[in-house]
Parts: sequence; C-alpha cells; structure tokens
Amino acid sequence: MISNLKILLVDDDKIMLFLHEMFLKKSGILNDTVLCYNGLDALQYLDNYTSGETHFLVLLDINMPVMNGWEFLNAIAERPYVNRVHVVMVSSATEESEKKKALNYSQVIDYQQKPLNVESCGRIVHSEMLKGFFEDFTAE
Amino acid sequence: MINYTQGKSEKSGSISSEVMYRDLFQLNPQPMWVYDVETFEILNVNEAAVRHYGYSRDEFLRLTIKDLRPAADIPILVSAVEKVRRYDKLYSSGVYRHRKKNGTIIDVDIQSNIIHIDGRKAELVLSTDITEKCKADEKFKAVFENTRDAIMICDDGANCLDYNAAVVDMFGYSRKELDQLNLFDLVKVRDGEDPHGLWKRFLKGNIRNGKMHLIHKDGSLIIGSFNAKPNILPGMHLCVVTDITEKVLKSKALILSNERYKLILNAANEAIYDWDIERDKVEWGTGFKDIFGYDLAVYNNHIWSDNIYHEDKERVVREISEALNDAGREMLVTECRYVKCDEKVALVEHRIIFLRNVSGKAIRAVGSVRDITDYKQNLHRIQLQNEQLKEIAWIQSHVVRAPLSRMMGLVELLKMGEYGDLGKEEILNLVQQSATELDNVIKEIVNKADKVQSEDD
Repeated sequence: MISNLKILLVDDDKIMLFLHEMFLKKSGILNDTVLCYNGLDALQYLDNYTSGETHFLVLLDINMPVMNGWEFLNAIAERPYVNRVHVVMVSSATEESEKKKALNYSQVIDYQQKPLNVESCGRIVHSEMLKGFFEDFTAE
Repeated sequence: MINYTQGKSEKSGSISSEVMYRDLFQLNPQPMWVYDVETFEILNVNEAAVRHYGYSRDEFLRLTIKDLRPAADIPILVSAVEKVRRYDKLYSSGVYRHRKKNGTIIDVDIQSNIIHIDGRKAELVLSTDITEKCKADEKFKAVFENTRDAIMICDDGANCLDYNAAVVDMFGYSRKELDQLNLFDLVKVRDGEDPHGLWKRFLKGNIRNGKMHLIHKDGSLIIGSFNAKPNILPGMHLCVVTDITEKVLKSKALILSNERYKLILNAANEAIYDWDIERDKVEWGTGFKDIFGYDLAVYNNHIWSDNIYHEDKERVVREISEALNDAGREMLVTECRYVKCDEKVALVEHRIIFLRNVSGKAIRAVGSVRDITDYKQNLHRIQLQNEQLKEIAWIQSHVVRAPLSRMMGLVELLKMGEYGDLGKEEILNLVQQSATELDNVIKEIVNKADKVQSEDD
C-alpha cells in the first residue's frame, strides 16, 4: 500500500515546503514526497508519471505564480488519472468562501489553513479517503 | 257724444266730430270693441278686431264678450264685469286669455273704460295681443331659472329683488330667506374693506367682473367668478356668479402638484420632453433650461439632437431611429455625452417611451434626459474604493498570513527541537525575515487604507 501513494507538496514558498515536509515526517508519513513550486510543475509531474497504479496526495496551495491552485484543479479534471488524485488544499486564506469553493471540487478531500503542524497532518492521515493508504504504518 | 254704437243703431249728431271719432275707432290699428255691461253683448267692433280675431263684422256683432274667452276663464270675466257694474267711471286693465274664431288662445293686455251710450252702461275695450311677448318672457324665465349660474337682481340698496334657482342651490337659503337678504350678507369682503364703498364703485360701473369670496348659509366659503352690470333697468342691478370653488381648488392642487413634480425633476437632474413625432414638434420641459441652460423662449426643435457630443451622435441617432422603427419597442434607454449651453459636457441617461398607433407606428414619444455626470463620477469613485478595499482584504487574508503562518510553523519546529537540514540558527534567521516581511505588509496596508480615506474626504 505504501508504494501506491506519492505525496506532492505544491507551494511557491520554499520555507513552507520545508515546514510541511518536516511535519509530515514527524507525523510518521514516510511516503515519497515531491516538491512543486506551482500548479504547472505539479501538473507536468502527474502528466509524465507512467504508472497507472499510483495514487497521489496533493497538498495544494492556492495563490501561486504561473498556475494557481484553482487552475490546477480545473486542469486535472479532464485528466485520466483524476480519480487517483486526492487533494488537500493548504492555504493562508481564512475566508469561509474559499473553503466552500474548494470543497466543491470532487478531488478535494480536505481544506487546511497554513501552517500545517503534526496535529493537522495527523488529521489528514486519518481522513476517510486516505485511511487505507496509511493503516499499515502510523509511526507514533 | 261719440257714436261708438253705429254698428247696431245709427244716431244723428255733429257730423264732423262723429266722422272723426268713428274713424278713430274704426281705423285704430289696435283691436277695439264696445260691449254692454249688463248683457255682455258686443255693440260695436273695429276693423282691427275683425282682422285679428277672425270673425266677420256681422259675426262679431252677434257675439257676447264671453264668446271671446276660453270657457275656463268665464267666471273671471263675470267677476270683472260685476265690478264694472258697481262703478260709473272706471278705468281697468289686466292680462287675460282670449280665443280667436279658429280656436287659437292668445294672451291679451286689456285696457278698458266705462262709457254711457243712450243711458246704457257700456265699456270701451282696447285689446293688445301680447302672446309673443309672453312666450319670450317664458323663454327668458326658463333660461333664468334653469341656468347653473346664480343670477341676482338687486335694488339700489343691494337688496335682493329677484334671483334664480341657482342662487338657492348655491347659498343654501330658501327663497323666503333670500327675500330678506342684502347682497352683502352673501359676500365676504376683505378685512378692512368697506361694503358700501364697494357697492358705490359697482354702481358707477367700476367693477364689472372678477373673483369674489361668498358665504354659504352653513358658513362655508364659496369662490365665485362674477359678471355684473349696474342699471340694467332703472334701479335694477345684475350680478351673475359662477361657483368656481372646485375648479380653483383643483387648479391649486394641480399647480402644487406641477411645482412638486418640477422640483422632483430638478432634484433628480432630469429634463423631460414631449415629442409629437407625426408633426415633428417637441415641447421641452423647463429642465432643459434649469439643468442644461438652454433658452426655451427661443423655440428650437433640435435642442437635444444638435447638442449630442459629436463622438456619440451617430450612435445615439442610430439607436433612436432603430427603436422608433421597431413596432414592438416601447422604451429605449441609452447613455451619451451631451453638450450643455455653457459648453461643458455632461454625461446623460436618455430614456424614451414610445406611444404607437394600432399599426405600431410611433406617433409620440415622451423622453427624459438625466444628468448622471455626478452619479457616474461617484459610482466610479466608489468602484475604485471597493477595489482598494478588496485589495486590502485580500492582502490581510493572504499576504499578511503568508509570513505569519511561516513564522508559526518555524516556531513550532523550534518548540519540537527539529531543525531538519537547516539548523537552529537558520530557523531563527527565517523567523526574523518573516517578521520583517510581516511588518512591511502591515505598513503597506496602513498606507492603502490611508489613501482610501483621503480620497473619500
């Protein structure tokens, strides 16, 4: 199961990428992580990924240059791998409207405010949609 | 002695005077006859009576004066004759009804005098046919009584001598009460004004018409329009009053309503016009003077079209023309620039409502031209402010929280004692950098908010 899930961290803020990677590890999530600096980077990675078995957990920022989070969500909607992509929006925005908008996308399974921490990473791991990917290992 | 009875018995006498008086009787243009007061028999009759009543002379001389009356009037006749019998000398007159040979009933003014002929008491009668005059009087009376205007005839002291039914209706007094009233019981004179002075001026012919306030019996005020004429007959003065209370009140209400409407239009910076399309004639509302400065005294059918800003003119004229020719179109709303009389350019909203005939052809249009320059400027300013406020809100939500959330994450790491590849020193540097970034963002927000405030002031 472990090899079937890759984690994409998508944010234009390198410090935030570093922090989120650290917190995921501290939460016991040892899956491969891929760092992307905008939506387009992440889209290109997914487009080029050849295995049809792998699922992806994308921790997606909203406001980014080149391709923002919304544009990324729209772009993957028509992709063949869309059902293997599970997105957690991770944003600085505090507006409730942003959260509602995000949860209207079928691929979005959760909405978290920055910064993530060990506790919020734990909530992601135990979410209904992702539970199967992590049940074999939860490093406490 | 005048021989009036020559028709029934000739008598001798002074020939010359007899001839003269006979001629006076026989040739008199007024119908005359002599009848016996005791027997009612007609003793003599002149040519005018023969002509007027239709009987031959012989027929006339076989009649009594009862035969000249309608049967219903005979008791009146008998009573009058009985009175004559009591006197030796009596001049009498009165208006009666007579019947001609052909049955026609006529009104006559009868003047009569007692004469004595050979010891017989008789009466010489002069008959004047006043049928036409009576009919004319009836007509006049009918008009007098049935007109809706109140007509009063007063004597020299302004006392009511005669009045029509409209006076009763207008003032609420009975005829008995009116008989006791003076004109000035019905007129409300202005404070300090002398009724006698007014009446004198009227009698001199100085007051002929105008408006006056009158008082109803119940005390309510009547506004009347009057026409008056002194001395229509000696000692008789005429005053005709029309009740215009409702008209005046409605007119006042209409004026008030128009004034209010005008104020509203001006307050709304709106000018209206009424365009008779078939005659291509436009009535311009005062707004074109008050708001746009054009002199409406000099008529110009093209105040609107001539002054559309040149860059907008073709478009606007085309829009109006298309709407005009579209039978299903009831209204057009368009915006354009309009050159005011002082050559300043205003931004206006032009609304036109078309009135069409059954075949859909526009025959009339009512338009309003509203100066929306200030409105648009304010709207633009508010839109700009909204944009700036949105930007501030976005900055608060995103830009402020970016360094803040970074700091929160870094502090969390420090608390955990986990530094990854960076080391504690580098983490602390990043905390400091993020704090400085946050400080700069807050300063930028304050500047923007200050700018919005300044623009609003």
